[in-house]
Amino acid sequence: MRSEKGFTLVEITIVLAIIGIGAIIAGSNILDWITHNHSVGFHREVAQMVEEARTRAISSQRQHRIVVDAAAETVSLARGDKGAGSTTWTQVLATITAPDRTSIDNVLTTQGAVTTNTSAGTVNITVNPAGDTFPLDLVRIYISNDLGEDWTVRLFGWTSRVRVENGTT
Amino acid sequence: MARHRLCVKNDGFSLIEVLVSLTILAVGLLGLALLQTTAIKGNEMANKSTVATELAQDSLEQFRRVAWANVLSQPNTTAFDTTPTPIYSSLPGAAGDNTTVRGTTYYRIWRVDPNVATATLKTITVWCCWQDERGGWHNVMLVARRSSVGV
Repeated sequence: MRSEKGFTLVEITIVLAIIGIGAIIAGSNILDWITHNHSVGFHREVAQMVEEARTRAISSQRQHRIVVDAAAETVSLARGDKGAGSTTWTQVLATITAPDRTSIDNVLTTQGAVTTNTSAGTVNITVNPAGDTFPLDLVRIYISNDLGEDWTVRLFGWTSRVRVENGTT
Repeated sequence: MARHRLCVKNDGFSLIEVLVSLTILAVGLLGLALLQTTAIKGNEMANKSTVATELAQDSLEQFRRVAWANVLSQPNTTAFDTTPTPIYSSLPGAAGDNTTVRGTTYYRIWRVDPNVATATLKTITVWCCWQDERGGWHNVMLVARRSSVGV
């Protein structure tokens, strides 16, 4: 009867060891999972900001500019003072900053048949009141994290339609 | 005796019964698996036609912005001039342009028809064509009209 009450020290140690191993495995996976979700949230926010720029440009009939800083890993939106050829720009939304372990790798702007890479500088994408990003035909923003995942935020220049894709092809 | 036999009969399933039920289950699961691949293919197809539509719309928007004199059919129209449909065997070629999105190349070709009755009106047709994994061609066609008023 006495032996049926309670657990022995060895039994409890074994159970704790098993729980510990499980927690360590789950813990590292959860950290990666959080990073993944931060990256997904970030590239969706970037796409959202492009859509916002298009909507605001059309409805207010003022140029809007998406400022992508590949060095500081930030994206922000500014409103121009005119419908065309704006000279002063006022920021209209809070700047989006890439979360930890996530980065803006490259911004590719295509104009005619010429593609320009910007991996460590600032790119201004002007959205005009007609809903286009003249003179850009196509913009691709490459976003990646240290888990080896990468995404493309693709902006079709003449409609300012935005699209998020897995991978960078 | 009779009671004893009844007890034995109720005890579990026979081998035949198990085999039959397993077969039925297997057929059902195969159907589900097939549904899965069909769904994946359908999604892929829908995704690609969305991209093609976006590219075609982009092309039309570009025609809205260029000067009236430059609203013209694509260069090298010989392969597409006589019939207003894309001829896949002529792709990829010098005609139109192409864009690669996630490993799939989308070929864009366009044709501009001046309106006979109204000289200030042009009909623009854009096709965006792509090939699926099995080599079959698909296309999205968009038609718009533009007047000489404006840009």
